[in-house]
Amino acid sequence: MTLESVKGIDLGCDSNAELISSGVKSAVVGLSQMAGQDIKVIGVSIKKVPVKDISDLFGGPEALIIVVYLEISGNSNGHMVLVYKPEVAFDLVDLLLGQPTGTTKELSDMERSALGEVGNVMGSFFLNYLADTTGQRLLPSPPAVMMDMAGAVLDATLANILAYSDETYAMEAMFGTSDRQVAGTFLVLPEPIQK
Amino acid sequence: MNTVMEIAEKEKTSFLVAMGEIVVTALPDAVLACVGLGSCIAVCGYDGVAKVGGMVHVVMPQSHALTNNNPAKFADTAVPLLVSEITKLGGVRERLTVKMAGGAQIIIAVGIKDIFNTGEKNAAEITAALEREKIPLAAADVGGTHGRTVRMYLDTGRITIKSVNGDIREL
Repeated sequence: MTLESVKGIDLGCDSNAELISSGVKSAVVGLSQMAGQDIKVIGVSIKKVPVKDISDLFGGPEALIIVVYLEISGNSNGHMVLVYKPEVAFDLVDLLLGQPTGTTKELSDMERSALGEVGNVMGSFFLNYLADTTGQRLLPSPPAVMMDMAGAVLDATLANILAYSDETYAMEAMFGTSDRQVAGTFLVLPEPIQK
Repeated sequence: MNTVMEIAEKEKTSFLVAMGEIVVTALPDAVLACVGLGSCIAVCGYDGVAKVGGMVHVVMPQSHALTNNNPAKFADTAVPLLVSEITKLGGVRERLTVKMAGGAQIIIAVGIKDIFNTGEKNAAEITAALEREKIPLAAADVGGTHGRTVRMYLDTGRITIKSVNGDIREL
């Protein structure tokens, strides 16, 4: 892997796609350990998508979603976004806090903190894998947890990408346990290299 | 420009104005919508006499030296584009009512860089662009921390804003 190709996290390149998908598996191992449950990656896909259509991946721009957002900085810049339907995020909080399913019904400080921790763990596992494999320095920002319309939460992130490019590579991963719902989407959006 | 639609359909016609798109129409039953606006801003122009209106979904404040780009994406170029597209369909600049909504700051967390002031910068740049065009801003609903869906009804020029909790109000 050359420094140049890692620099833009060029997901269009096969070897990088492999790298990223291994990184996601590592992130889910982190989530498994944190939750004390066997959480598996159901599927990883890398798509070239028009930036303006990304919110369609989550049920359209007006769909209510919960998002854990981390910014990637260091030798590469980009965005990591964990996306859950609200009821799935609440299930995940119940799982993490050892509560019966259905206990969590809203996003208050405790729930935000738990989901932020999910972002921290998955983001760190993912970036550590990438950093260890490529020798690059990659750092996650503190997590931001939000619940809003899909279009709205992704706007600012997408705006920054859309300023330079109409299309982006989105890495999408689905994961879950066999019995409890933890299905979520882990989106990695590399920032275009500014010319 | 392929993003400007002129469709002669008789039935209720709704247009989704996606990021960096502009829709200008004289269809009396058209409804233009920017759905799920965060930091982006919907700029709406309407000529109540000619019944021509348009909406542009502004993404970033300035086009700077970015080449090969769609002018509808950027506040500084989107405002003149909206005005000129409306006048092309028979609207008159002096009669235009221009309103904007959106520009929220959704992501609030420590350590997140200032790119997330995009909403505020978009609003400021649109205001400045309107000043350059010498068109007053009739109404605005910008800022805050939550998403909005903006709809404009071409028959009357009525604009509604739906917030994330489902409340609908008029701008």
